[in-house]
Amino acid sequence: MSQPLTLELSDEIYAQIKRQADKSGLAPTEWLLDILQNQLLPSAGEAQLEEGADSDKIRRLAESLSPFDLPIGVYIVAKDGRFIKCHEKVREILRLSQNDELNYSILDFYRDPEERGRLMQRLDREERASNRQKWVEKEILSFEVEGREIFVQDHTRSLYDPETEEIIGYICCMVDVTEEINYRRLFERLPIGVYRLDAQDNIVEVNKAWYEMLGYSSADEVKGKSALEFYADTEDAQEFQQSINQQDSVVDHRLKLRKKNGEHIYVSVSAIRDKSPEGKYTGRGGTMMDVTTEERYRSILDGVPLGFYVARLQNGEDVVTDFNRKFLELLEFESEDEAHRFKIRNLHASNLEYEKFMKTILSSPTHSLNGYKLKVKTHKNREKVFEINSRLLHNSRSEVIGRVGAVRDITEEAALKEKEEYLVKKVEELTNDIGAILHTYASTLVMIKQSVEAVISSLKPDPFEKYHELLPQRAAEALAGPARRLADLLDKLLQLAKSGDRTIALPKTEWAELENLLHILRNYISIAPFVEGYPSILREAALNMSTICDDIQKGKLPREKVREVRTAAMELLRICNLIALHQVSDVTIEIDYVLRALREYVVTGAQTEISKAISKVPQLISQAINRLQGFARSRGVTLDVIESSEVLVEVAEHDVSRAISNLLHNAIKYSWIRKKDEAPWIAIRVRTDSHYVYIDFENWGVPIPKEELERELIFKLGYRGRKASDRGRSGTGIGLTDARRVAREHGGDVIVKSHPARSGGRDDDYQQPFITTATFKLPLYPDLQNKE
Amino acid sequence: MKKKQKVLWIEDGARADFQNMLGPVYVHGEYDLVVALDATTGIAHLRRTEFDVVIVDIRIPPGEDRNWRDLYKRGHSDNANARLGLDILYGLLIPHAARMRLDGIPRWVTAERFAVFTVESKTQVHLDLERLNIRIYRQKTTETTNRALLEIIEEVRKITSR
Repeated sequence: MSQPLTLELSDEIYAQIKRQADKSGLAPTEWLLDILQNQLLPSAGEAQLEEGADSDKIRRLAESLSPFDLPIGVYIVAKDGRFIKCHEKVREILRLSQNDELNYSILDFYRDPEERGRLMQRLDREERASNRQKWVEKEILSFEVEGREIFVQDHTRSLYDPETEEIIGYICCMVDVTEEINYRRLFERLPIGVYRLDAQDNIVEVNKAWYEMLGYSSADEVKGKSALEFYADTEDAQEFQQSINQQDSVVDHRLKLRKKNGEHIYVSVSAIRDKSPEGKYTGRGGTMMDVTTEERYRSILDGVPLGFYVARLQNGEDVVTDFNRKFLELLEFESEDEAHRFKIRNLHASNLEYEKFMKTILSSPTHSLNGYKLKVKTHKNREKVFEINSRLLHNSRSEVIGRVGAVRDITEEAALKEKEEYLVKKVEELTNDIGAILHTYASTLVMIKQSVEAVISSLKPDPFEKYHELLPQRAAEALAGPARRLADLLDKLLQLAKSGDRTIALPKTEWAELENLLHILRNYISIAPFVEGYPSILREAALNMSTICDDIQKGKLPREKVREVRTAAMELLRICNLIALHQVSDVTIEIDYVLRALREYVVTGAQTEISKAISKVPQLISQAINRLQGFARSRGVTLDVIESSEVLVEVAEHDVSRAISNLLHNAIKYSWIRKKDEAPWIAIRVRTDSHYVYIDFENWGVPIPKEELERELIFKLGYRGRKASDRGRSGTGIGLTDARRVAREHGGDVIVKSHPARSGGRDDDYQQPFITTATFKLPLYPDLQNKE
Repeated sequence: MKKKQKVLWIEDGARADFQNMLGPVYVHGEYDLVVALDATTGIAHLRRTEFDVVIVDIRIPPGEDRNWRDLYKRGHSDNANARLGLDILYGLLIPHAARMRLDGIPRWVTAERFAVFTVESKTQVHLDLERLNIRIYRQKTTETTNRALLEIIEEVRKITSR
């Protein structure tokens, strides 16, 4: 009876077999088969066993096996496992001395004796199934020898009594595979993935960690698959292949792989290229670690605009040991190598900065700093300002061993902040300066106004006394009589001089000048480009006249006539001076308001907090009217509150009162007389809807061009409308800007409309009067609405 | 009778702030002074009449002409930055460097007939004046007397009559 026998042999045993085979001129497998099939097993089968002495029968049978000195672990045990005979190799494996085996049973070596039972059951099952003797092959058995676990690969076949056909024992073969099993166990139990690919990059072998990492439940699930199937990105595969082809091995190569369920994971792969003796690629093997968490953190670290670093104390110096990409970028390192082990002291703008930083962090109770502003010097020697959040690192003895931190570049912010602080300081200074200047100017304006009034009263009678505003036309009317009278008197004088030989009273040029002055006095209306020019021309003429009169030689002309001319010239000059003084007076009042508005605009702009109070709208309007009563009077403008409503608003009263005053001021300033001998007037109305109150100031006069309204130019700071200087009106272009700002700060607005006063008037004809309405809109005080 | 010299003063403040400077010029008798309060009017006068002297303010409003208004809106939407006086001067004297193209510039237009009378300081305008080759410049300050306009006219006349 012969059966095929398969043995896995260690290199050492194989070498011994080969030596023996070479002596016989056979190949090692042929020699081994020959021994087993033709010599060892047939002898056992054919051995004659004596009755009643199984042990002896087996022993004899064994002794008859002449090639028992084979370098393989062959042994024969009785049915109960007692050793009958064993080969030297078995003794070696089981640490037995010569013939010592007879005192042992193979069961003595099983770590789990039940394993022997299972083996026998399997053998029995297989033999029954095939109805013949059969080898149970390659069974890995776990033995304990001298307290140490060993593994053997076992082949077992039953030995039958030829007479009874009962099993009387077993012939077995063992090979020590402890080393292989340990390696296999290590392979399987390694916490990192291990894999091997063939020349086509198909998976040959993977361990548990590997397939579990990718979400598979067994190695068989992935064996035979192409490694390419696991890459999330085919470019990664190509790049990896290139690296390994160029370098034969790669270490810590980061790859993104796809798991069985489609999720992506990041792995760190180290691999070695396998090659044939000719250098041909035959596959590769390597290890793989899941670094997904690390990669996620890294991507976060690299993604955030903060530089992270860890510094360790080495030889008394903090040196950079770990960092993210942003840290490199912020400190202008060209590479990781440059930054690694860099003395952190050298990244401070100066030693002083470093000492200050260390002192501050060490004095902090938590040994940490948040939002610390530090001047740093980059690796390229550029100064920057960083905001640092840092904490000292300690060892178990609480000694400082380094620090960890996050840095943010705030160089631009710091520069802006510095600029802002400078500007705030400047504005404060300017505000104070303007306040002081305007205080002085206010006094100066009072002095000017009073002086002008004093001079005006000394020049009485004053033809303009009854008027509040000196309009150019009124001035022209007042000048007409004195100019005509002077012209008439001069004419008479000239006529008188021509009669008789009286021209010697003056040089010829002065007579010519008097002729010229007469011409001007007669024609100044046509000579002057506009009515505002009359006083200037007539004043100059009167002054010249007076000077020439002084030059007339005494006794050459009738003294009375000369005196009349001089008196008339002085009267004309007086009227001209009164006009000039009234203009100064009007302008003083105007400038007084403008300067106060300017001061309030600047001072309000510098305020940080506005305290609001509940105010009645009519009260706010009254405040504005009181404030501008003097100005309105000076302009002869009447202020009429046509409709009012006792509504409440919650406002910064001072600001809103000023804003309303600005609108009223404009309305007064840009009003024209509607009818002769009728004062211009402003209509003030208060309207409400469910949410807002609207305060309208309507005037009749200077147009606001359509484009200035449409483009809201009138609200632009410093903008003065095309018609704003109508009849010499001065201004700053602040009023509307300020009013709208205040309104909007209160949730309201300023709306301005302007249209021709007369029906059918063209809306681009700005020579005609327009009705202009400026509306101050404010939210109603909510409590009032609730009550309603 | 001696022919009067034609003078154009382009000045928006002529009617109000600077009205007192008109008298000495008109009463002087030798000058026929025309006042333009804006760019549109100023250019219209320049096209219509040959002036012996042209005195220009730097900051002037555009007037009614759409082109001047567009230019004013484009770069100078507020009075503080409106330097249309310079645009007039460049348009007349160095057309290729001008922002405003002025057609039909009269032949009599030469830099020597022009003067600048402005509130702007010399440092603010000297480069333009050099480029435009305008030699007469006067700044309006509180020290400016009401004879200043007359004096400027006479300074220009001195140069042009050589």
